[in-house]
Amino acid sequence: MLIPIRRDIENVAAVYDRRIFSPTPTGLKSFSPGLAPQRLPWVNPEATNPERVESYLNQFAGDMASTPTGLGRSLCLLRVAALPQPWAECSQPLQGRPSLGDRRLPFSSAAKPDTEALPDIDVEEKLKEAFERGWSVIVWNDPVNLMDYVVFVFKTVLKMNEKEASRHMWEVHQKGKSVVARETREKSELIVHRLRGFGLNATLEQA
Amino acid sequence: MTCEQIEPARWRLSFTGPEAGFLIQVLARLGKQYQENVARMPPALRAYWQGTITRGGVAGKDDLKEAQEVLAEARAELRAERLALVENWMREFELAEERDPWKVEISSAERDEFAATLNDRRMLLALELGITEEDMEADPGRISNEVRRAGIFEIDVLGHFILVMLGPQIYRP
Repeated sequence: MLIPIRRDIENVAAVYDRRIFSPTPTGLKSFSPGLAPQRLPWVNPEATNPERVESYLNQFAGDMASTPTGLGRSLCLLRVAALPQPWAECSQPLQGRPSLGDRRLPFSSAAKPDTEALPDIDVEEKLKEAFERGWSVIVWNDPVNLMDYVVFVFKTVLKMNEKEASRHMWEVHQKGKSVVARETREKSELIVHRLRGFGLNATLEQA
Repeated sequence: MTCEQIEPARWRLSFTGPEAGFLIQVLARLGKQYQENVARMPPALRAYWQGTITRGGVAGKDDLKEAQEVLAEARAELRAERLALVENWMREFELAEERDPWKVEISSAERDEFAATLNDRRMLLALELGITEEDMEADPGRISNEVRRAGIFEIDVLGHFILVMLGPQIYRP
C-alpha cells in the first residue's frame, strides 16, 4: 500500500529531538495512521472505478471498437479506396487529403491504375508502431512511496493529467499494480528507467 | 523546512539548523550506499538497483537478457550521478556561511532530482530493514526495535521534506 505523509511531522526539529515519540502536551497522538483514503480530497476513490484498468489499453480497445466492422482504425487504414458505403468514411484517417480520391483498389470499377500512389509510409509506420506496442510498463505497490509523490511522478514522467495520474495511483494502491504505459520496447525501457529513478517499483513486461 | 518559489523555475529551500544537520547525516549515509558494490548487496537491494524485465511474468529469458543488461547499466549510471549530486549538496553545506537557517537556491529540475534522491534513501532504508505496510501504519512509539524505529522516523521525515519541496505542485494540506 502506498502511504500518505504523516501529517504531524511538521516540525522536524521536534521530531529530531524524538519528542514526537512521546505523547504531546495536548494529549494528541504523535502519528495519525489511517488517513490514506482521505489523503487526496479531490479524488474520489469510488469514482476512479479501479475495475477499469489501464487507460492505454482502454484507448486501444476504444480504437478497435470504434468502427462498425470492429476492425479498428489501425486495421482500416489498409483500406484506401474511396468506398461508396457511408460507413467507410468513419475510418478514413486520410479523409480530406486531396490525393485520397486518386486511390482505388485495382479491382474497383473506379480504379485508376496509372494514378500515382499515395505514399503509404505514414500508414505503415503507424501500423508497425501499433503492433510493436507490446511492452507494458507496470508499477507495483510498495509500503513506502507517498501517494502524492506517486501522482507527481506519473505526471512528470508519463505526462498524465492529475485525474489520470490519481487513478493509476489508486489502482496501484488498491490492486497492487497498474499498467501505466504500453509502448515499443525502447520507449518502455526508457519509461521504466525514469520511473525507477524516482524510486517507483516499475517493471517491463512483454505482452 | 520551507520551499519558496523565487522565479518561475527556481526555488529557495530553507532548513533550520536541526533539519540541515539531519539532512547532511542522511546524505552522508546515502553517499556510502551509492558507492557500494551492487553485486555484494542483499537480493532485495540488488533487485532495486538492477530493475526487472519479464515476459509473461518470467524473467531471465535469453532474449531479454540484453534488455536487462541495458537497464542495469542505466541504473548504475544513475547511482554515479546521484553520488555526485549528494557530494555537491554536502559541499554546499560545508561552504555555507550560515547554517541556521541553511538556504539553498535550486532550479526545478534540480529540485525534482533531489526529491528523487531523498526518496532513494527512503526506499533503501525500507528494503534494508524489511519495512512493511504494518510498520508504516503503526505508531512508531510502539516499535520496540530502536533501529527500525529510527528507520521509520527517517523515512517519514524525508517524506515530509519531499512533499514540502514539491509542495506547489502536489502538497495540498
